[in-house]
Amino acid sequence: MVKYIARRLLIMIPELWIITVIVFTLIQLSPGTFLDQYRLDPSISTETLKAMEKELGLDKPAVVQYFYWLGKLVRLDFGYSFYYRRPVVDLIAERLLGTFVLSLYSFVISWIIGVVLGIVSALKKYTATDKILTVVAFSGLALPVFFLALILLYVAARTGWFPIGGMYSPETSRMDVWSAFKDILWRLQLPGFALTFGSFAGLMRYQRGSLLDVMNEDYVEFARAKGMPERVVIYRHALRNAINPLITMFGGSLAGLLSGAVITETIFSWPGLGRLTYQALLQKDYYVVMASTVISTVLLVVGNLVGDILLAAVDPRIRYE
Amino acid sequence: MPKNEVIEKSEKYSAPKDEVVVRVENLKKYFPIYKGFLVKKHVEDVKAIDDISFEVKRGETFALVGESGCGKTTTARTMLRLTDPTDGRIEILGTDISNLSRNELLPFRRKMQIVFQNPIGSLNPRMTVGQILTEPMLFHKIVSNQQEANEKAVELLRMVGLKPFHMDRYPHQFSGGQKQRIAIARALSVNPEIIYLDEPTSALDVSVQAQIVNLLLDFQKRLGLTYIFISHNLALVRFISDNVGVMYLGRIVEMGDVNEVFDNPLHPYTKALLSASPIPDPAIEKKRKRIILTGNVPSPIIRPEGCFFHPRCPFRMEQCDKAYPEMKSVSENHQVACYLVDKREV
Repeated sequence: MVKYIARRLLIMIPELWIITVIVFTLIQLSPGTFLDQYRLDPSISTETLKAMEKELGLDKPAVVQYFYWLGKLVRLDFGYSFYYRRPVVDLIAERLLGTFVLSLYSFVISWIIGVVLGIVSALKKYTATDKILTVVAFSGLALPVFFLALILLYVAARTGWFPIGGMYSPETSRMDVWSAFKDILWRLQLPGFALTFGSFAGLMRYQRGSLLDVMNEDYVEFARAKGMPERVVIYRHALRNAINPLITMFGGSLAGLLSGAVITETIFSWPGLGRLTYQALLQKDYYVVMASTVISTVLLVVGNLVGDILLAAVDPRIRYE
Repeated sequence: MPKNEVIEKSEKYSAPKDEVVVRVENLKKYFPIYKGFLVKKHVEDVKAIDDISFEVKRGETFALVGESGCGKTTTARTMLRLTDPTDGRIEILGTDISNLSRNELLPFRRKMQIVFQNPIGSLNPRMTVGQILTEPMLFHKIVSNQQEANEKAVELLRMVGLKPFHMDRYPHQFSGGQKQRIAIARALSVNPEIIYLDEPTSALDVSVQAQIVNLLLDFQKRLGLTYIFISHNLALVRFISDNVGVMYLGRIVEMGDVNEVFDNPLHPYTKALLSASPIPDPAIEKKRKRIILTGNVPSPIIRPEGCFFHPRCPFRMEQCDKAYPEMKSVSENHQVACYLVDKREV
């Protein structure tokens, strides 16, 4: 098992390298550079532009730029942001908390609601409860996040029941810990809801489907023939066999915890990584985009690995060699 | 089939067995069909079992044969009360269990066990063989503690030809035949009197089938078990069972001693079934006339008027589409529901 994990982590290095090459190439291929906004400004002289280009390293060929960046990355230096003129690491560190708070909140709630409602829906198959839950789930799957987020924003603006964006209010820094916590929690509701509504629905349908599959198995039938109470049949025999697809999904969704929700964060002006990356993309702020790509990739690979390890831990049929 | 096994089977008959352990009377199981979005209307029924009766004596094997979808498995499931009967009586060891509550049923659940067709799906993949075997014993309090249960489980494994060290293995580590042995051991773990065998060998290799059948026959003789055997394999039915019921569209059309029914089939459907399975003798196989049925099995929702078999029957007569023929005895242990029988008597 240790060998298996080590091998998976080693494979990550070439994976990561290939992904950085692809992302870097794509950014280079897209039209425009960071300096274009200054070029359009008549008050900035050609000499200044030349100086800026040299300073930022944009005068060198793309290949050289890439290896320069890669060389620094190996030493865990993510480079400087063109726009903010600060180390990328500092920028990301600042935004990490915002993203983590929002994602974790939505993650925990959507998993609890998704799994519980999925079980309810499976056990009450084809009843009114199941049908109502199915309609809710499909609405969640069908509604694009940006649309739901805009509607929520509109409702918040019209009614004033919720703040229309941001993680902190102007007074946050003056509040005591408890009121600051309550304030952030309050501001978390709308973006949290927008994110949760889209993700719990999928989980719920997966849980429902896999539980229904297992409920038809003969060993569940045998447990019933034993005369076991239905509750024991479900929890001891059915549910334990129905969680495999969810564990795989769990591993996959771990990556989402720190990579940021671009659309939701942008619409609700939430100070998170997603918004930072989005803005950096628009401004051609290469190194911020690259850093955020590296983080997401590492998380995705590690998340999948965690999922696979969990699967082996709960299912005796799965062994990695 | 080897000769010594036939002898074993005939020895079985010498044991006294007059006690009726299973008696099914007018058993019906309808699955309702509802239509409508908000207000559900009961429109139709799928008549999976429609008025079947039979009895099985202690130590005997009663086989149910018929095409897929004729209600064999539903009969077993209903008799196990895995689904509630619509009407009729299910007498197990002298008690009608068709209306018993969950708790009242418990002692009978211990007396009845089931072995499924597919051994892969019938064992919980998350449990070790030890857990699979001890759970029923502990649940029915046949043993007082885990240690006693483990001892009994090891004994059961030995009985079905497996080894004590298999206790800690998981089902996926066994072959199909071994899994079916585990399933049989699990059924035996609670000292049952009646075992439902729902095509217990059809998912296995032919070589393994014979081993499992011999194992089942051996246990029947040693433990005096009563089997309800469901199968498509008519040769196997003849070999293993004492009495047979031929089912068509939820009803038993012919029933009786297996040799009598198979040697002298009276119902055209039984004749067709038997002629569909090959005879392992090329000389006879070449000479015999086969009855090829045309058309499909009618839907169990909208069944034909009169005898359900008449649209496909090669011997159809005038009265066949008027009323369903009654079950008549043609000998002490042979009954058939067909108008042809009256004609012969005239």
